[in-house]
Amino acid sequence: MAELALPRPTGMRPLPFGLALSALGLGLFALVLMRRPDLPGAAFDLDELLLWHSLLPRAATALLAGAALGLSGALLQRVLRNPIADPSTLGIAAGAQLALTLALAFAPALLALSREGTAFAGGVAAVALVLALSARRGFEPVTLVVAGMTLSLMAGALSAALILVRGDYVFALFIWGAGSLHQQNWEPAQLIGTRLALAAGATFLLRRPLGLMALDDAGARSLGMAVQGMRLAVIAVAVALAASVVSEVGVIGFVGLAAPALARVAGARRPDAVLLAAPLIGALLLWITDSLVQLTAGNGGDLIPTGAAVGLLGGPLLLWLLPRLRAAAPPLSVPATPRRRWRRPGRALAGLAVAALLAGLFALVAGRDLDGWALATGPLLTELLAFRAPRVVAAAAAGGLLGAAGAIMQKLTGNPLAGPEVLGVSAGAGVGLAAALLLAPDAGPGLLLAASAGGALGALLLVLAIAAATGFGAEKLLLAGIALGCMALAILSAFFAAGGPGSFLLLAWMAGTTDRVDLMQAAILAACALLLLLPVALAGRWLSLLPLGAGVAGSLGLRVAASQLLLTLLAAAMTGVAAFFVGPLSLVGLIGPHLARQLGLNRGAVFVFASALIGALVLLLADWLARMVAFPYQLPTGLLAALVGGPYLIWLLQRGDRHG
Amino acid sequence: MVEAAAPAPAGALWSLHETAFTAGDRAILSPLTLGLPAGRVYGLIGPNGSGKSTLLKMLARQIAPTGGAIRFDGRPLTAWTGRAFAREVAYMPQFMPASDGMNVRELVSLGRYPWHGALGRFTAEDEARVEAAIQRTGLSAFRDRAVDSLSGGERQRAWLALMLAQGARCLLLDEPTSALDIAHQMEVLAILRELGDEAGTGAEGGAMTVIVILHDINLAARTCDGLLALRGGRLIAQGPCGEIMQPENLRAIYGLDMGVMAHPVSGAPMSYVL
Repeated sequence: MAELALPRPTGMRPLPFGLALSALGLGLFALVLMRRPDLPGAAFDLDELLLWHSLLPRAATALLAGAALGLSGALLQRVLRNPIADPSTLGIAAGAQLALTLALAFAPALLALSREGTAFAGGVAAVALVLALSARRGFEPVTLVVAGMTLSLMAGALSAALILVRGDYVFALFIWGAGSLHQQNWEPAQLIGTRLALAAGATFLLRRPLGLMALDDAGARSLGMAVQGMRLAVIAVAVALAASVVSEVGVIGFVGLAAPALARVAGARRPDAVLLAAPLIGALLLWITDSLVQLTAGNGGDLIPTGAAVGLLGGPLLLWLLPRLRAAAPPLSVPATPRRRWRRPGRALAGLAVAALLAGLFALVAGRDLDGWALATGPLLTELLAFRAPRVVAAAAAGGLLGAAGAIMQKLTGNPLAGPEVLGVSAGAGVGLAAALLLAPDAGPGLLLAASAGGALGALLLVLAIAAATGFGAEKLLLAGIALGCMALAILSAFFAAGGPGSFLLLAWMAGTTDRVDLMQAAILAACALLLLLPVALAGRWLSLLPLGAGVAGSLGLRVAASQLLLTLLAAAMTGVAAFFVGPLSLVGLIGPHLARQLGLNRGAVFVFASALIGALVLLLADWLARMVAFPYQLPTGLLAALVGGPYLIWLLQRGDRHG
Repeated sequence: MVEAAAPAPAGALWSLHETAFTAGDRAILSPLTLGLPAGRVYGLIGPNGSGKSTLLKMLARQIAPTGGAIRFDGRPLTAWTGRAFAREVAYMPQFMPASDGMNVRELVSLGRYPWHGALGRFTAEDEARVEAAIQRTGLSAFRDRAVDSLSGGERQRAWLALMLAQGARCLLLDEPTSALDIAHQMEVLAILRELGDEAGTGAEGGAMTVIVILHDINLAARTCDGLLALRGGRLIAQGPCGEIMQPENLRAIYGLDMGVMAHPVSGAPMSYVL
């Protein structure tokens, strides 16, 4: 099993760190208490009511939920030997949330029966899927987390679609989903508390086997431990903890990730010390965040849900940790060897182009009407073209741009798992969009498009800067992207929670609906696609050299920084423009390059163009399906692409080692 | 012992003047003045952490010295443009990056980048150079094989072929043999030795200049014309192999009592630990 490890911390004393954190928590809570509204005396004491039935239970819930998440994260990190595992990165939280959303939309009786049980089932299903998929790679940390994050994205897309379909009824779910800690009573605190006590007891009993888990499987087994059984039992405990938190207060990411990491940085070295310190730090972390949220709250309620705030604080924390994370593993081995080679890649490209063209024609002509399937011809076609042509053009252009952007990012980073979705670039585009909607509610499409591209550029530059500072390790780059993506999504949930006219627009954007595209926009998009794709032809040699790393590329005389910057700008512009039309979730930026590589078209500019054509093909197909599957209703294209592409991608991930 | 701080001779291919590298307040390489004439194979030896790789990286312009200056062919390194320098000097880092799914021919053709640049045509001359480099390293049979699927020795030769295709007159290699078994080590070193012997591989009809970091002192003595010994960031000995391969020098370099004897067949000096 490959491993990442945090280096032995230096200089920081655990006790002062804990005391400082506790003091900060107490101080902030005192401020919260002092700021509570001055209520005029009545028949009963409102002040006492507020204190006993809102503020104190809220603090207790924050402390207990934080501790539960911290313990859950510490357990997962220990049994998977993966310092970046936690309920959110493994998809457990998203799975639990999706289960609850599904239940609320389709089977509310289930929730009445057991919210926690429903959430637990979702969490178990998610983690089982993620583990099954990464088992063939020996639960290698980054594969595991990429599978988990992909699953989270898909679950998120499904939730967004459900909310779109069911409207206001489930909209409140988003606020809950973003982890609001508002309390009316002690019930959630009690529920989480009992689960936490049970799990703490189990952890105490299992502390010796857990200590052995620090060895590799063979070592632990040779000392007489049933490794797999032990691992499954501990994972079940961790999922149960996370599920109880999700069912009571919603998704709160990062605490499970940050608490054990902070414990280690603060000087907890032995396994049992981490397992003890992580819940304590997790509790303080969530409590502090929640107090901050309450202190910044206006009269209308919290400005942002606590879960989103944790994301905002946790993202930078993870980024700060990254350079301190020492990879104890050989760099991610890249199964990049294609099965075949083309003597004339130009012909293969032409074939792909013809296929994309045919798919476009098919999408224009074939369809369903009220009587069934039909090929439109003549006047009917002319009539339908006005509706179908913009969507088909937009889908093809956006797919092409995303595929090309993914291919460029993979060459830039020398990492076959990089892509606009995984590196947080698409989510960055969303933040740009949200900012524009917030600052200029009447913004036209041009401004929104520019804002989207600007957000994507900011995100990509940040990720690349972090990667450069940490030496462009494949793992670190992906982690930086994941952290950034989580942060961006936290910002977006805060935007949703604030409500307002922009939030439904943004929600539709998240799901990736193309039905609002008019002919003008489609034409602009197509022009952008051509304009951005053509320069790639000139950069073919850069794209061949850069994956070899700055050292080799530089010693061959390439101006590394300049070429990287230019390609970065290009990829960011591509992502920003495309994501504006199909949302952040489509996964086309990963699928296009993957398929291109499978086809043996993995060299230089050919790789980028092949990825673009495949991306266009995939999105054309997704768009057509989105129009046809639930006819006469239309599903969001980006969502459909993610739902088709996600499983395919995960399947690719787990079979990737066959020729690695 | 040969004096380290001899003034740099005029006309040396490489001349270093008070070149130093410090990280924070730790001196990785103390100020070093040195001249290296063209057309020889130099072995850079010394214990771990002695500054060998740092010195080589500075020569390759991978890192900039924190003090002093380095001149190549009479011009300061900073005055060279990237591609012009790459046409003169080829560098192989200690750890090879993954080769991104390329086959041997594709990898070796990358060595022509300094000549044709981002947009220039890949000419018949380029083609011929690539082919010659593949022949030279004995990889003709592997031309269309993926680099990742080659054995360690073959992969090392593929990267060496890339350097040869570069058409440089100076090669810098950081432990090219570290991961290889003895047979593959000899293969790679034999190619370097040939390059150092053959007229016409370097500039103006002279032989190629090679600077190579080697851990095995005996292999270094066997392969190189001269040795440069570093310890603790200082050049403590420099000279022909026979002069360096003396018990007192080896003790100064490695801090270990070592003896020297003649190779039973070739008569070249061989060291052994006492």
